[in-house]
Amino acid sequence: MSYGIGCYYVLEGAERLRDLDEGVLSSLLRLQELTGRPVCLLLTSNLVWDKFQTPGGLPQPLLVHFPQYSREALQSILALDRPSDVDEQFYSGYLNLILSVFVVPCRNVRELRHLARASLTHYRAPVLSGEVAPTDLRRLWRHVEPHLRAALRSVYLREADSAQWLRTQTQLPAAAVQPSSHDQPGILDATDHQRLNTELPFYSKFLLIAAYLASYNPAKSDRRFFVKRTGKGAGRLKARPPAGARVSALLTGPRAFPLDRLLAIFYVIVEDRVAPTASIYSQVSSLVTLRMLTRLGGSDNLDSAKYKCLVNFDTVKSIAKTVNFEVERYLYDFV
Amino acid sequence: MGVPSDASPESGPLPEVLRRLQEHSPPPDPETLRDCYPQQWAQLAELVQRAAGTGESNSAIIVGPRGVGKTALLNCVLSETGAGTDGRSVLVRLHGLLQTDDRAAIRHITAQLKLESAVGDRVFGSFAENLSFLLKALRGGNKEESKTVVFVLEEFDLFCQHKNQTLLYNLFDVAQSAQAPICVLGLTARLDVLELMEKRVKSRFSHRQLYLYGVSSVEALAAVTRSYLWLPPTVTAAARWNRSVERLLQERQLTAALRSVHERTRSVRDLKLLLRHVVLRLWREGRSTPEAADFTAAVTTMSFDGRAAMLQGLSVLELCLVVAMRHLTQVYDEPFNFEMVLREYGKFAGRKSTFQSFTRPVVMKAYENLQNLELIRPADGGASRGQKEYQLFWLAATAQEVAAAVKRPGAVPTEVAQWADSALI
Repeated sequence: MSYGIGCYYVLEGAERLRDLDEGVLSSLLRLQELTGRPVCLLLTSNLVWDKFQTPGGLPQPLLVHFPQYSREALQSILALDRPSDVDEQFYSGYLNLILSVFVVPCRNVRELRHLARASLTHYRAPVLSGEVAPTDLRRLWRHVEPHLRAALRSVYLREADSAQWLRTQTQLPAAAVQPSSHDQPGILDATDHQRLNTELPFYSKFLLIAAYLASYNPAKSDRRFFVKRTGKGAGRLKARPPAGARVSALLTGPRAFPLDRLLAIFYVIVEDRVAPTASIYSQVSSLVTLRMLTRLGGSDNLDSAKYKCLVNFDTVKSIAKTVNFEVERYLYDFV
Repeated sequence: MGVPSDASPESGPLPEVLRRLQEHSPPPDPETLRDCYPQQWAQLAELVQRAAGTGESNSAIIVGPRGVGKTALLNCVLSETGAGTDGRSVLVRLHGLLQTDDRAAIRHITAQLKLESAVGDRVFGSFAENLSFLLKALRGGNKEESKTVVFVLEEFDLFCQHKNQTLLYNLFDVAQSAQAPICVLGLTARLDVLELMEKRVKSRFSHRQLYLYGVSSVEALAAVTRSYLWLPPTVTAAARWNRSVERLLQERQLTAALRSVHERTRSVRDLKLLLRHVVLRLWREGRSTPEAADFTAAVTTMSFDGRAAMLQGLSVLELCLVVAMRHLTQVYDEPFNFEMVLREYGKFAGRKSTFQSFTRPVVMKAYENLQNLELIRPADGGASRGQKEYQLFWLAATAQEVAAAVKRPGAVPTEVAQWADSALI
């Protein structure tokens, strides 16, 4: 049924129109009135209409909501991707598995298709080599489970594209992909940081730890942690505010510290005698280049330069472990 | 897609009704409009007739919320009094959204008065000079023969934002000092339009304002509905359609639906949208006459809650993060950042060993997805300082919406639902 619509305008990503002058969205929505012609405007966006409202008021368009796919719908969509040489029942069992693992963090159909494609080869490998029967779902699941977890880490996060991923899967033996934190609940994942740990020189690691301590400890507590205890002052702790009222620095972010404080803490935590050579300063600037520290203040002000530590606790903890240093003992929030 | 194979022919009642409900169509029955606003109609008609007939200069502003029929009313009055077509007057239409500054405005006026050739390449020193040249060009030999110019300024409040309000000043100046017979009619949705005018402009304005407040009662709403749905006999199957519409308007269910619409909005534009929903539903289902249930369904469609639907489309991890955020907001009543949400989620995931726990980057990706959907808003208005993990946010969803999304059967595993219950007291 047509009623003389002359022209259709389709605008995708319509939420960006809000950033333009307010009159633009208003005029576009009134296109029929302003031109007096039958034109049709179609806007697509991932935001709800409420987010578009302006103080001046916008004419309400016809809203068509596309709801998120249900689990059954996702299964049937992903089934369309089945390669021709794979049995239908086998594939639907595979999809069931994929969905049960991946639908929890992500319902986006594109991501799920990507993940399904990336993991299929490994799932089929034991069947093709004859080790496992295609109907033995339990053994197949046990075989593929660590790979799915690894896929969640790298393919989902786009740290590796699917071609690269498939190459590494076929080259490395299965044991190497087993994450070390497989049994621990919680958020820690050490394997992400293995790359970082092996690349920093010895003093740089301590500089980084010192920077972390300087960022997350208040300056007043330095005396308690880093000054050698004499007989007189030992054991006399000042009253601290109750733990509930203190907002952990870990939650509010790192604080800035001057370079002197960083070096002072550094000299305390490094056991050997370190001469203050220029190479220490150059290691500080290389940490800045690596984006582990950031430098605040003007670049012309060499004396009063302030820094902030950008690395998070898990990374510092794993770095400290490699040099046998207990970071928690020196952190204000943990004592 | 549900398109019936025997779709209504081009000339059936449904396409005709849809044609009338379009944005650019004039109101089908001016009498209904006159019945809604009898006083304002009479006042406007008098103004225009005085300007066109006796050459008396006037100005007025029509004020009313969006969609109540200001432009429609004005157009009906103008066509009834014959302004612009009777040879005694010329109509010039300006729109605040299109003519965004005074130079564009004067060019548009020149074009509508068809005086481009008269202006030629002349350069004018000021806006006033330009305008007076144009108005003089309309003047005939003696003063009695000069044509009245009726200026219609839509979105009048946007003209107030032009530099120095030159256009408005000059128009009102000409109107007040009766240099040439003009009638200035402004339309705006802002009730405080007088405050927007500069003092010198306001003093030249006649302070004549006409207020339109929209459909005043359910009966009037029913009358407007009838005027849109009633079809003239020239349309095929019109008689049957009109009979079913008349029968429908007597039903109680329909009156109840109209009452719920009336409680929500007074604007005719929203009523047109409702009727469009009804007609589209009929077309989709292949029926030819409307029923009261269609109206009730259309009212439900129009009160669609986008945010609740958005929450229902989130993945389980994202919903867990939303519950964690709700808990944080309830306990601390302060904006949160990613680290706080992660810790709250970690506390829950650590307690329940059966529940799959996710690494920091995966949680970050879910968090950023929530940001893209604008379910969380930055606390400092978007100026991103520092690292993204520490930027503060507020949650843009109420406890009821989150609870409703979580309590749907099958949405989340039972542990998450129990955690949500304990969190959302």
